[in-house]
Amino acid sequence: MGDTLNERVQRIIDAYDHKKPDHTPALAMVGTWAIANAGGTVKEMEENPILEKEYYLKTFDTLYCDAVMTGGIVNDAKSFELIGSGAAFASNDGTSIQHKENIVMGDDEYPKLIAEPYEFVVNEILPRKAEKLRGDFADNYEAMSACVQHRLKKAEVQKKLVKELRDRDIPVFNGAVLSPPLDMIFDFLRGFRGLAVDLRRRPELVEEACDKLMMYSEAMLGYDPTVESYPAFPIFGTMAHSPNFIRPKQFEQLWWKYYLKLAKPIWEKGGRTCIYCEGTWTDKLDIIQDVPKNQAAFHIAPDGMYQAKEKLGDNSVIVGGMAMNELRFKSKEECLDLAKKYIEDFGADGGYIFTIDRELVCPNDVNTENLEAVYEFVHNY
Amino acid sequence: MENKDKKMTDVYKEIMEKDLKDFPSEKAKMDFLLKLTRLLIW
Repeated sequence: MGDTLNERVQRIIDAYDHKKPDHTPALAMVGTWAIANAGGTVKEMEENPILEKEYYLKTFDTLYCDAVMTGGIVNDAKSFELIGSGAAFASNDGTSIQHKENIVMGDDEYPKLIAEPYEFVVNEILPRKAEKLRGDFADNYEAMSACVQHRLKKAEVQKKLVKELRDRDIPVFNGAVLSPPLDMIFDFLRGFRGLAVDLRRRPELVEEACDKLMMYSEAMLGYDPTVESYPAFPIFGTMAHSPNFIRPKQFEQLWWKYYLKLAKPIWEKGGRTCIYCEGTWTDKLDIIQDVPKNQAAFHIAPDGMYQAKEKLGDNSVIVGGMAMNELRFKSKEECLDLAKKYIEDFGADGGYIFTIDRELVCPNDVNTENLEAVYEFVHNY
Repeated sequence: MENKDKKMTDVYKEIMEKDLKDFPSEKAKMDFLLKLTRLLIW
């Protein structure tokens, strides 16, 4: 341990710049696993939000990293409970947050969504999802206000958490979120099955809806046109959800086009981006080469990393490495050998950030001893 | 407008006036609510 915050941040910037690193940067992707790893539960945090800070930090007493993906747990069940939605809830053992899909937008409602994307979502979709927002004005205000106050309190805790991480010289990798509108339709409005049908039967309405839903993407991004330049760190992060389920042509027209609309102003002002692809994107590698050099990173699943390196490696950063299952089931020596291979194959001349294939969520996702040994090894190799 | 005729967008206006009164701008308030809405319609 012992590296300064600036040294760790510079290591990541060097990776983006394709400079030969002193050590390959290691990115920690710990979600609710970190809470369980500290002996806590997300259930406890619902009633006592400050516990999130204590539990989340504890993992970094013994885990080396050059950055951690997020400053705390993004989602929580309490926010949903306060408005009477069952979409998110704590698992039976209280250690992770689970999701129950509830699709409430019909296939005939695109015209309403397109005509009034704010009013339709807030006045119609939200109350369909949330029982406590279907009452009279006073009841609805009471429930929504409680949710807002809870989110503000959670944000305050996470602000303190990020500061304490920085005090320990650990920067948070993701800054603002860059999320193309197709994922809003996929994740929240029409679901997997609905969108699959819509892409065949009414693709023009999906595209029009994407145009209108950019207002939500822009709010997520918090882009300020008056800002003259963005720092090279933290990174504008994207959790890509729908791309793994759509064809390359649909991806290019309905996801990537909007991604570029959001990302180009960031890149032009010096900002850097990272897409967590949640897959290999092997069929999309030709499309995503269209990015400026040294400004974009792609977190790719282990079985697609070599192809991604070949197609994207000169221009963009490859992020990835160990599969969660390898860290769970292989011996420490086997894990260290794999980590060495990843560094030598991908990181010899920069353009590589080591991490695992997905954010850790459940207590048994990995063997903690293996995880800590691998991250320490990557740092020292 | 009577309360019975008010919609969730009116609730949002009230939230902006009361709960988010310390936010630096109307845009910051609206961005917060749009982000929250996107989260809550999961």
